[in-house]
Amino acid sequence: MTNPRSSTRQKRVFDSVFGAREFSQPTPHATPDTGFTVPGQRFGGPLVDISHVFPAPPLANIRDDPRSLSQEESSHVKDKVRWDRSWHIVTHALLLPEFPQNWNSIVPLQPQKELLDGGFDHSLDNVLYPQDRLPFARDTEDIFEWHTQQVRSHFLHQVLPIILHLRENHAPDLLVRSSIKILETAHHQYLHGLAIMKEHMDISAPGTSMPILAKFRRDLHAIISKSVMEPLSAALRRLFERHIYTVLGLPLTKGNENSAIVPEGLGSEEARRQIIGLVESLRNIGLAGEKFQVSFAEIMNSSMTEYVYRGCKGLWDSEDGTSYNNATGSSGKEGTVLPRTAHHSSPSRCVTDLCEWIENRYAKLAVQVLGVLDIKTQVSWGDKEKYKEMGIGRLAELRINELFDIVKNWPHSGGALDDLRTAITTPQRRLHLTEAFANTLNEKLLHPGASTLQILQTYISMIWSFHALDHSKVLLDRVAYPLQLYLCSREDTVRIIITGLLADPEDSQGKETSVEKLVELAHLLNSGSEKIEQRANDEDLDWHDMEWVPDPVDAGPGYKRSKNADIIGTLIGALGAQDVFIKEFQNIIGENLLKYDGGFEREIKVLELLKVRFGESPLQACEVMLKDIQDSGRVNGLVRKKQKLNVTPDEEAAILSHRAEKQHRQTRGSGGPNLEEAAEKPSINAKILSRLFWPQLQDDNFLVPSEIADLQKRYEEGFASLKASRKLTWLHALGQATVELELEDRTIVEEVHTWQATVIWAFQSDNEKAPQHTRPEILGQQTSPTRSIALHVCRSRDAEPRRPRASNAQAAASSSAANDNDGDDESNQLKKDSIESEKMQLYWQFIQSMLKNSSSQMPLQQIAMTLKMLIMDGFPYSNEELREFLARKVADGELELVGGKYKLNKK
Amino acid sequence: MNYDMEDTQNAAPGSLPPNQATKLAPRKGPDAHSTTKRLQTELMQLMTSSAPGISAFPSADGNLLSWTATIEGPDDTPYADLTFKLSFAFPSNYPYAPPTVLFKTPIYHPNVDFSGRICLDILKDKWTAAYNIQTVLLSLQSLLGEPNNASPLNGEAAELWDKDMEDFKKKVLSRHRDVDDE
Repeated sequence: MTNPRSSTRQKRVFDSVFGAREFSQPTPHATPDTGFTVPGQRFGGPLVDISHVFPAPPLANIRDDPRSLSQEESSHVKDKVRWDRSWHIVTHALLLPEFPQNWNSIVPLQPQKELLDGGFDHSLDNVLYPQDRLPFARDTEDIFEWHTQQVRSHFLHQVLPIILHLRENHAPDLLVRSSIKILETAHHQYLHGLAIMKEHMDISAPGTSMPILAKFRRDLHAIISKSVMEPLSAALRRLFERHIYTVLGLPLTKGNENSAIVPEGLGSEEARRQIIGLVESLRNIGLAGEKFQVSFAEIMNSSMTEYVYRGCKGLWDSEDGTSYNNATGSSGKEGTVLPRTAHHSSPSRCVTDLCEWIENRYAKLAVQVLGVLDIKTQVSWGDKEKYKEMGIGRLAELRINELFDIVKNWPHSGGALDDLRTAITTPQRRLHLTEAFANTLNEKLLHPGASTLQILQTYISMIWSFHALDHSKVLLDRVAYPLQLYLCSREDTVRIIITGLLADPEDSQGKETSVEKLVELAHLLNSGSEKIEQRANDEDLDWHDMEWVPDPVDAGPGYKRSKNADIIGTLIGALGAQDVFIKEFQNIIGENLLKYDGGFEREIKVLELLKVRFGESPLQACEVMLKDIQDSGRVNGLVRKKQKLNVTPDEEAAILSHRAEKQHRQTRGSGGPNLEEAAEKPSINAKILSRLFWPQLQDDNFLVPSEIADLQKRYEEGFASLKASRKLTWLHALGQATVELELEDRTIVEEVHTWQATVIWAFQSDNEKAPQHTRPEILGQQTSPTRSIALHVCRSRDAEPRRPRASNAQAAASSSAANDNDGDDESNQLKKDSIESEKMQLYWQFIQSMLKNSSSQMPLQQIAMTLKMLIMDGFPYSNEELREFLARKVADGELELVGGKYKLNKK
Repeated sequence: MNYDMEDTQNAAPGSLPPNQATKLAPRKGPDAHSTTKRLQTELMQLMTSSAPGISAFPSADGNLLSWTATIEGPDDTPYADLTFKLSFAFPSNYPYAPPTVLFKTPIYHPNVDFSGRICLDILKDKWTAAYNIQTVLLSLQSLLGEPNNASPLNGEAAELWDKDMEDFKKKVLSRHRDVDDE
């Protein structure tokens, strides 16, 4: 409508289809009221006395002389004349006045009723009921159509331009108000004319006016809304948005994250009144049509999202919510506030807030506004339940998007989980939740950038959170599956879990070691291991369980109910293979047992836990290991006493320790100085291990100093006398020694590897020349003396060691307890070599079995291929390396090479 | 306002059709992948902890579902010092169904017929997924020493076993022939 050209075109198109309707314009005012002209008289000319000019009819043959017309014809003419006169009078009276330029002033309505006389009434009768009153008039027109048409063109030409003009210069608020004012004025004017007619009709033909009036209104509203709504809609929308947000307590400024929900007050009441008023006036002027309703709905829709976003985002804590719930709970109010579907034993704060908000503000406003509008669908107060469900749905959506952070925030996000729990009531939502969470998980966690520890920590939070969310574990199972798969691909997972289990919870609280260790597990283990016991009872249906609920609808076929979160169980179970787990556990407690002294309560506890889970037999070895350590403490005491190796316990000290091994038993030794012989003498303590039950232990060959060897011998003798059938084999390399280096300016006490201690010992032999002799003495290992010396030298760079007095040596048989990197490199290197030979042994098994079973003779190529295919960890060697390996076997006489094919040598 | 629409609006956007939901459920059923994996694991077990007198390996054609195994006859039985080759054919839903095991080496035994078919309950109705190649081979090995004469496939052998051990031994030796797959 704004574009004159397009509107003309529109009109043309419209006319071409529906046909243009022509309406006569009101007769010009200037036309004199001359009546019907006498024949011969010029129409519209000055009144002339025709009797003077034409005393007699000049032409007797004038056929159309009215007087010569038949009676019938003349009544036609008469009616037509009367019609025309009446039409003129009525249209003239009802002609709309110019729209006042200063549209603010109250203009007197034209025509003023008092000025209308009986002639008008008479004419109006004629115009309204031409069939009755002027049956012979032709070409009568409908006065209402004429009025509508008049209103339309008046509106388009006079009122609309004012509004369009306003739009350019005014703020939305003012624009809307002014427009409404203008439209109201216009409306008033337009209806005035109609009102006159209506009044008349009510007198003459009661009851017929209503449909006509309604039709006019409809037409008028159509015109207005079609032309005005479009230019106004933006402003109207903004205005409404502002008011609605005020009523609903939403902050008006967008993007301000911190602005909270404003509680109800005078401002919102005022805004509410304004909205109702606005809607009423809009309805009156016909702007409350479909377009307005749509934008109202849109605003309400977005305001709900906005509320959820503002009011609930990031509010995960249930702390302050509990008191709130208690308050509402005690007053019994929550029953009315929450929708039926959201009923829950402990409704969360956000949900309760949301429902209250919807009930008190949102639904109230919606019902009020929609009540003002006359629309077909009735929105009743009862629909608030639907609003609430929608609101909860929005909240669920928000929480689902936040879920990853919520999980990470555990245990400070209980409130958010409550929200979610209330909201995820349908399988679709549950599915969506797991779907969305799995995606976030993939994006944020399951990539090489996240450390295994981090993943495990998140997993633990996930178990907690999802357990709070859904006791049935169905949701967790769905999201945890990819996580478990991923964890299996990480090599250090098992190790981290076990070290976590074995971690010292007290220690961690002080020193923040949680960064490196999964101490959560240790806490769990200490706090709630008894929970695991009740698992066994979960299998049967407990008839006394009043909290029983059926399995969730989306539970899988393998679903098993379990009530507690059971973090440790889930973690261990997640990694599948129990043997991997047990092996790793064995290695780690092996290390721990050799490295430290003490009661090993944690190890025992973890062992008990694992026994519950895996059964006794797979963990037998571990039990033996623990028992070994406990026994060896006793045996060690006895032996030392017997062999006079003992010193008073508080002065117990050792230089070197060694590990002994015999057919069944291994010893770990340590030395302590004999007090009488001053601190010069080392002392030795041993741990005796049952070889078969311990994981592969590494040993190096080097010569221990003769003093230590003597001690070992005496110890051995003591042991032999104690347990006659057993023999000790010392594992030198696994020990630990505490050495004290007396330098010129200071004394260093250092816990070192036995082989390092041996090198240091070499310096003890009185003078500085000793180092030259160390090498041949120590033998065995080429690199370690050099390395230990390097260590030594770097520790005592400034001062030449004068008399390194090895005094305080405490031993531990551990393979990885070095505190310097050199030592670590060393032991890793050793480990690797032996692993490879161990692996080669495995490959040899494969080859043997292959040649025995699948084909008695095979070329190299095929052997290599089969190995690559069948060995799960992959066969890392090239064909050449394999050829070399096989050649060795041929040389050993185990294989034959015949015609390029290998076969087993039949003995 | 049409409230029928609200339900769909309320439903979480992006929710999947139900058939995709099943994909999320933990995979528990047998499939080809888990079967090969299981067989690989079993192979590794056999290699790392081999029991004396038995061995097994997948066939040379690279099909992991078909294996060849070797059993050495236990001492103090008529089969001492003899080796027997067997073929294992694993179904695709192994280990939920037993493998088909046949003696390739001709054997004279009460529970084995002349085409090598074996009558052993754990290979039929008593099979559980807890059994594996190694346990099957060990069972077969012990079957050599302790035949189940109550349900013989070879009636003559069952009779002889009870009556005339010497004759039985002779029959065993005469029937035994080393097969070479080349």
